[in-house]
Amino acid sequence: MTITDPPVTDSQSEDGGTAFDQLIDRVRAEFDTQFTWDYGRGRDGLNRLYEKAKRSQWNVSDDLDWSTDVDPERMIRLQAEVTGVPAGFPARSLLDVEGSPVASWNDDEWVDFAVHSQCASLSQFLHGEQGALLCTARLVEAVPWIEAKYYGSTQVVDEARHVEAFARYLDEKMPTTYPINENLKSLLDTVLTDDRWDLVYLGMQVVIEGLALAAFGMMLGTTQEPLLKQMLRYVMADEARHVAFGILSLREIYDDLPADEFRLRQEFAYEACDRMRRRTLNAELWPHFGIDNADIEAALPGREAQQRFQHILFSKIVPNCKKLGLLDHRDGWLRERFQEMNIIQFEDWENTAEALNLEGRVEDSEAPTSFDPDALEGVEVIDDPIHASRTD
Amino acid sequence: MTTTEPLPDEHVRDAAFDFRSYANDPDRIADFSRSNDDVNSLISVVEDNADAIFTWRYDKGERAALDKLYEKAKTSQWNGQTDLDWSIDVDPYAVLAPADPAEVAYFADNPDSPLHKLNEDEWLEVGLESMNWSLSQFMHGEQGALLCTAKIVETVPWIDAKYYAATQVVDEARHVEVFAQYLDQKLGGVKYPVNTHLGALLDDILEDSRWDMTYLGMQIMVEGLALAAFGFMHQTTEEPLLKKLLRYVMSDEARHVAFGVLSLQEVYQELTVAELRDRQEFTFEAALRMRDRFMRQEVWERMGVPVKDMVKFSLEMPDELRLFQKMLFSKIVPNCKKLGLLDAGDGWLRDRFTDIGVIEFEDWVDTGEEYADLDEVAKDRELAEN
Repeated sequence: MTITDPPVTDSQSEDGGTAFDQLIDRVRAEFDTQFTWDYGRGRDGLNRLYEKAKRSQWNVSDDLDWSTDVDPERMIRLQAEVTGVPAGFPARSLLDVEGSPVASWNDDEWVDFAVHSQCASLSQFLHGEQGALLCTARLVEAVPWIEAKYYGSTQVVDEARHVEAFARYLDEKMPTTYPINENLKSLLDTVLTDDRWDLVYLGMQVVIEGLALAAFGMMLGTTQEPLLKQMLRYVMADEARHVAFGILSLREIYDDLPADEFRLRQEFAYEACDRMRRRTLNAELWPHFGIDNADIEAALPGREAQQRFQHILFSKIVPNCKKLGLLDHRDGWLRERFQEMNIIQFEDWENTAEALNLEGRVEDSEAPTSFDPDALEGVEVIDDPIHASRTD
Repeated sequence: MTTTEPLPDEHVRDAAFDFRSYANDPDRIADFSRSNDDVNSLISVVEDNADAIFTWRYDKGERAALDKLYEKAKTSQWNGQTDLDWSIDVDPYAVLAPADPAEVAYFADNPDSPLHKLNEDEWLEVGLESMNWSLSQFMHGEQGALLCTAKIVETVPWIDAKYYAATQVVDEARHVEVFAQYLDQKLGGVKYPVNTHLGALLDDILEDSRWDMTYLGMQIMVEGLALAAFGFMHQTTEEPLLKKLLRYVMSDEARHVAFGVLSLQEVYQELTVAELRDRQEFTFEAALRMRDRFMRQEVWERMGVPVKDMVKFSLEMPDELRLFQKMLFSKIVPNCKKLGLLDAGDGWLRDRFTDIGVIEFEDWVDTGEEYADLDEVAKDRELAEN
């Protein structure tokens, strides 16, 4: 696999120096592993989710058509043609900024940029999935409920599958892989080093997975490449369960949490969202085009196109924070923060796994649709696009 | 949890120390064999001291043997709810294995045996209690395996190992699920908390910051012993639900042990003699704990049989009757040999396995390759298709 820039490690590796060591990154985890001796399965929502997860497994090697030919440049041009959104959006809005380093780029250059931007997005999905793999393994160790350990174990194998799928797609179909974005990495490290297991849920299942779902949805709503579309649908069907796992588990804990503890969770959610907002500037991408990140940071966040793009990315996190009671606790502290970020309008969005574009939801007949963790209390509602599409 | 220390550190490096007497000292075993007195706690907490490791090297298949194992694991998943027939009525007495008559005679007919005076009903009770005890320990051990394997996903630096280990996490959850359900629905519930020796070993494995120790403790020792014990129970029980449950669990376990052998082989080639000696000592301590745990102290306590006398009498059993105790090591010893642990340094571990009378298994088949032959799930599916 080609990696565009050698990743920077925080050099905690003691023997350091060899090529191999530079390719790993250690995070000190200080937490407790908990055995439970109560093997009774009383949490029905989690039980149903576990049974559902067992039956919705898929195999990257067999269930995706890897013989599909992918021409990244053609993929970008076709996408621009079909959606009417020009290649390189939203960064392309910098064309209008006077003195912008990209002011002279022609369409071919924007297409090249868009190919790399797609690589950068897929790379962050890949690294994020590895973070999810480690975080979920940690949850299996730390959560004290047997039902959550059972369900969490299926998620561990889901996350491994996602890493496998994105890594293979990047390796076989795309020109390059980018290292992890520093904002994403620092959030993953925070989540992995915290000793409170509910924050692993909140950071990983609600914020990182919520943002990933929206980002996958945007890619699904715009790309015309059949292999990528299929892969994203399958991954999103899994992710919908993951978010439900977070909501079902956290609701039980947050019902009994003292006010000051709950306030800490609001702040944590806000800080996590803020870091995720900064990740959308794609700091790992610009230096490849000889452009200083400072120029981008100065101009891009103010562009309306960038803001619309960013807002859509939070469309899954906001309704889930509302479901957890995080929005309105303490005089609506988090509601105010989300108002400042201009993302409060998503508070009543319901569907977890759907295709999106800049205007919102996209009609996609094969996409996983209506998904409501509340409904898990009674009936099974999670869609299973993999097995549904197989019977066609 | 009460923890035990089977091997005082100061003696480990003492060339003149008599390991054989130490290992087989009934006073020591009885002293360290208190049953788990903490029956009320619903949670037990162990500090995890390991680094979570991200790898940026995503090349799948770099370790071909692990990659093959991952692909195998993906297609051999089964469902504890739908692949086993839970409607089967289980008569707990029918679950019992017909005991080895020679072994029964040793305990029943010998006037020095603490079980000499048991009547027919009491013998049946010994059987029922022992079965509940065994399955309870299997279940607790599987939970330990679940937590250890999750830890391996976090701590191992190879992507192929992270992928494979992820499938094992879900295997272990399934195993806890089926043993818990069997105990709950068919045997009147879990009667025995985790055995002190097993619990202490699990804690040690989880607390250790070296990821290869998690592999060695869990994949080679605990899983290796489980594979042998499941095999023994599978051969002897006639109860169809338990028989199939064990057959399926064993298919998974064979992969798990293979995972340990394949991964550690690579790591141990790079270790120094001193580092290998650490692993040898760890292996021996784990082996003693595992052997001592099978003396069923909690069962004797529950039945009012003097534990110390029982331990002493069991240890005096003639070699030819100790079939079960020895068989427990039939996977561990060849796997240790394959890893080079038996003969590393001056062959310290070979001497210890000789002391506890299990070295005879060294040339039995190791588990690095046999997992494909043991895949009963795949065999059943093939049969169903034809």
